[in-house]
Parts: sequence; structure tokens; C-alpha cells
Amino acid sequence: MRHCSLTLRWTIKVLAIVFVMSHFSSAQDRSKKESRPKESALRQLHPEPVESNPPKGIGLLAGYKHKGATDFEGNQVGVISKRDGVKIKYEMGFSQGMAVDADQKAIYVWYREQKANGRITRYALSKGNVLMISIPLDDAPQTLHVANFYGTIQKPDDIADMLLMILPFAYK
Amino acid sequence: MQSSTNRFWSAAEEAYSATYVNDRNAAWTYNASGDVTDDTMHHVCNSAGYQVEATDNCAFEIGQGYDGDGLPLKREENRPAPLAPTVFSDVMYYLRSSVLGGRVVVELTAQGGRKNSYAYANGEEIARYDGQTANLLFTMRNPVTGCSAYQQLDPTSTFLGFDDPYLKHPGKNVDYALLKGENGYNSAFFVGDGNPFDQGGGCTWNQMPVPCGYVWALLGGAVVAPQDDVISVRYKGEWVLARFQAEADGYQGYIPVTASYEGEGRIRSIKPPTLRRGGPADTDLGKLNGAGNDQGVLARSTGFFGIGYGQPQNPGTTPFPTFTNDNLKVVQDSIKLAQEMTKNMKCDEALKAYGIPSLAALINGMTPNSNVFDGRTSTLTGAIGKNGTTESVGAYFKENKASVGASVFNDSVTGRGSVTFLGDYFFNPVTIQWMAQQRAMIMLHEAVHQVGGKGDAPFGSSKRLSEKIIEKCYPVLKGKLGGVG
Repeated sequence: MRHCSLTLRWTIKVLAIVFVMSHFSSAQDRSKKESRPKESALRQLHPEPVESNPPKGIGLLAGYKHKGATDFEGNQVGVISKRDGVKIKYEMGFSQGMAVDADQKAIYVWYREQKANGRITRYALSKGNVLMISIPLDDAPQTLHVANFYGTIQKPDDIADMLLMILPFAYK
Repeated sequence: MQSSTNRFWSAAEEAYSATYVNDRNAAWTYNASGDVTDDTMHHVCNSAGYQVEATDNCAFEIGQGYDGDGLPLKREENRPAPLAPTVFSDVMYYLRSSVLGGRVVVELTAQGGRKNSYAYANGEEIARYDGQTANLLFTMRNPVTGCSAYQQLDPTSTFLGFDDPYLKHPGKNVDYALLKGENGYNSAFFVGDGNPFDQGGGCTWNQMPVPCGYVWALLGGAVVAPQDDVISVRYKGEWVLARFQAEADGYQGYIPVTASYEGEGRIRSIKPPTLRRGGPADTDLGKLNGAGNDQGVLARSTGFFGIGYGQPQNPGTTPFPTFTNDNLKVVQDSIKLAQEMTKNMKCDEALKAYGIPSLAALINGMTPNSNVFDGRTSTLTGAIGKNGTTESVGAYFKENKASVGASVFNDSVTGRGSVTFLGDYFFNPVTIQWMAQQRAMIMLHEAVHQVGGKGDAPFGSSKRLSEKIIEKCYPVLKGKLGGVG
């Protein structure tokens, strides 16, 4: 009788553990399932960049590699990087707008403008050490057709590398 | 003719009726030779039977002299002070060519200056030089009615257009005097092409001399409005429809339905001022209409495609292809689904932190065949190809068939502000998973650019913008789409 009740107690414990575990895992599955369509939609609209040639005008320095993709609204999106070098993300397209905001000069460490090909290009270093370069791609005033480059700067060389690679694009 | 009733657009012209005795209008008077001396005007004929004077008791006097061959030599138009407050006088001499059978080659002022000159081919007038505006105008003759109108051509033989084809709206009942101008005289009726002496020589409508530009408009030849004559704009803090209007004073552009035209390119709200809760800035109507640095928001008319916006690089034959049948349904359903999503407050306010208080307001501004068109067959061209090469919108979408579903092109491509074009990826995505939702997301994303006027950069990137919309709007779909997920 005593053996019987011990067995029953163990059975109940095991069943409870199984129930809790199964419930926990089904909650996890459901949460995974719920986030899947979001991720799927995002991935389909914005595919991951793959290794390819950089846009015309961008000259890769030794050791740098380029990955690029085109998203659903025709933006050319990419990353230029190398080990121990600057990592530059960029996006260029018809509805970009200037990432470097002339009205927000106060939030930058420094802000510069320069005319290239008759268009005003903007340069700014954010307080988070991101060097941003915005280059208009047509002559319409306040155009949203722009190429924006964002480089995470960790050492002075990074600024030099970024300018050397990106500036020719502005003058192409 | 015993009676006639005519309408000018929605306004009725004074009805005409007559009775005849011995083939003569009983209400008119005639001289011994049988010439009309009084109808609605007073006519005087010389001994040779030529009409030398026409007087409208309310408005004007016209005198005409003839040369030895019986052809008009001099014409004098007067509007003396007792008849109307504004005095007008014009004298014109006709110089004719015997080689051309007595046709008028030059019209001269009283001082001998050139007013107009004419060029003929095969007996038909093919062009005229308008001395007043210094325009060379080419004659367009309607093969059905025989009526002529005039158009200005650029060096590539493209019509430029020069006339506002619309008369000032005459109000309710129209009579002859009203059509001649507010004060009883409108020089454009008689100094231009209309001629009460020889109606066949100018343009007539309902047997009345009218400017040929007006007839040209009636024939459908001078439609200066863009293809989408109604669009959504934000005006005085509200999303309202704006209709394209060509005003009689030469200005044209989109005018919100809650505003009225004041003249000189300016508009005025006709709604009482309301308290505004903030929200996106009003649509820049001046920029939309290409008003330049004018004080108003409408632009001066510059012709067929010079509708106040920048000129597209090359519009081609189908710059703004419309959606029909199944494609139209797909686009409408996508917008409808996006609207459903934004009924949830979280979704509606997904971009509130970025200055967009309501996504619903933006998606409601997306209208197929008005500011959303089929990019796959568009012949518009611009510097939109790879690395900035010039190509057509259609070619661009073909080139990016597997990846690009939508693009908002700006004024430098469209010539009429931002316009959304949809491509293959929108209609036939690579994978059909979450297709309806993807399309709704695309429409919401593009509405931020098209209607909200915001680029991707303020959100960090295009992907970040999509992420923010998807994050707040996707869960809403669970119930609505039968638990998709």
C-alpha cells in the first residue's frame, strides 16, 4: 500500500513536470510562430546583402569587401567592411532623404557641407562616432533621391579610409 | 431657322425665336436692297451693298472700308464712352497679296506697324505671326467642322500651347452681351479671330464669333490639365481633395476643395478656422503646382505639359498608366487591408515618435490612378537607371522585376511632383507567403514617402521604417486574416 502511494506520488510529479515543460515549449513555439511572419515579411521586403561589386564610383581599399542588395522600393543597400577596418553601411534610393540634417547641426560633433557636381553634399560626425555622408543624386531642390553612408569610427584611420572610398562616388 | 436654344456648359444662352414674312425676319428691318439694317445690331451698307458699319447699341461700333476690288481694306473698332465705361479704339489696315488671290498677308496698325501677318500653303492659312505677343502660331484646322485654331510649336514641333482655353465662367444665364465681356466688350472676341462681318473667317460657336482657342478647347485639343485632375492634399491641417483648375487669368494648379481661387495665383480657405492638433505639415501647394517664387500657390500656365510643375524629361506615350480590372482590385485590396490595419491605434500611431501622428491619414491619401500608377508600362524617362543612367520607368521595373515592387519618383522624373509607381514584385512576388500583408506593408511604407513627404533616412533606413510598421501593424492581422501566422 505504501509502495503504491509512493509510485502514485512519483507519477503525479513526473506528469506535472511533463505538463509544465510541454506548456513552456508550446508557449515558446507560439511566440516563435508569431514572430515568424514579421521576420519573413521583413526579409522578403529587405533581402540580406550578398557579396557583389560596389556601386560605380566607390573604390574599395585593399582588404575591404562589399556586400549589397536591392530592396522592394529599389534602394541599393550595402556594407563595406574589413577586419580591423571601418564598417560602412549605405543606402541609396529615390525616397531616402538626407540623413545628415542641416537643421540639427547642434547634435553633431562637427558638420560640413561641400559642393560636388553642383550638388550640396553634407558630412557630419555624430556624438556616437558615426561619420555620415549624404550625397544628393539629382538636382531637384530638397530631393529625397540621395545616397547616405554611415561609418562607425573607432580610430582616426577609419575616417581616412571612409573618405577615400566614398568621396569618389560624390564626384563620379 | 425659327427657334434655337443653346447651352454653354451649364449655362443657358438666351433662347432665339423668329417668325418670317416673305422670307424676312419680322423682327428685323431691311433696306430697299434687302440688306438687314437692324437685327440685334445696326448695320449700314454702302451703295455697292457692302456692309460698312455694325453697331451694337450696348457695346461697340465697327466700321469697315473696302478697296476697289471690294475687299476689306480698313477696319475700325470703337467702344465710345457713352456706350460703356472703358473706351477702346483700334484701327487696322489689311495688306493683300495679288499673287495669293487677294489674301491678307499683313495687318497693319494706324501707324503702319505690323499687327499680324499670315502664311499660306495650297490656299490655306498655315501660320500667323501675332505681333501683339510676338508668337508664331501654327494653324490647326478641324477636318470635320472646318474650324481653325492656333497653336504654338517648339523647335521639335511639339505643341506648346499659349491660350487659356477657358473663358471666365459667365455665371448663370448667358447672353450675347455677357459673352462679350463683363462691361459689354471683350476684345478677344472681335480683335482676335471672331468677326461679326465674316463669321467664317474666324471661329464660331453656336453661330457666334468666339476666340478660336475656345473652340479648340471644345474640340478637346487644348486639355492642359494633368491626367489625374483630383488628388489628395493636406490643407489647413486636413486631408482634402484638390482639383486641377485652369483659371481664366492664366494661372493653373491644384486647388483644395475647401479653398476658393482669389486671382493672381492665390487661394483662400472657405472653411472657418479650426483648432489644429498638430500633425504633419500641410502639402506645399506652391511647390506642388510649381508656383516658383510667386506669392500665390498656382503657377502661370505654360502649355500642354508645362502645367506648372517641372517638365518631365520625356513623358512618352503612356507616362502614367492606370490600373484596370484585376490589377486595380489588387491595389485597392492592398490599400483596404492597410486601412484595416491602421484602425488599430498601435498601428495608426506606429510612427508617432517620428512626427507622423496617423498612418491612417497617410494611407487614405494613396489613390490608384491618381497618385499611384502602373510602373511596368510607364514611358516616363529619367536618370533612374543603374548608376544614374537615363531610362524609362517601365524599363527600370523590368530590370528589377524580381526585387522592386514600388518606387516613388519625384518631380524631376514625373514633372508633377511625387508619384508612386508599382512594379512586378508588387503583383508577382518571388514567394507568395504573406503576399497580401506584404502588399499592405508596401503601401503603408510608400504612403510615408508619397503622402507624408518623409524619406527613409529619418527612420534610420528603409528597413528600419518597414520594421517599425511591421512591428506595430502585423499583430493586428492575426484575427483579421484568420490567424495567419
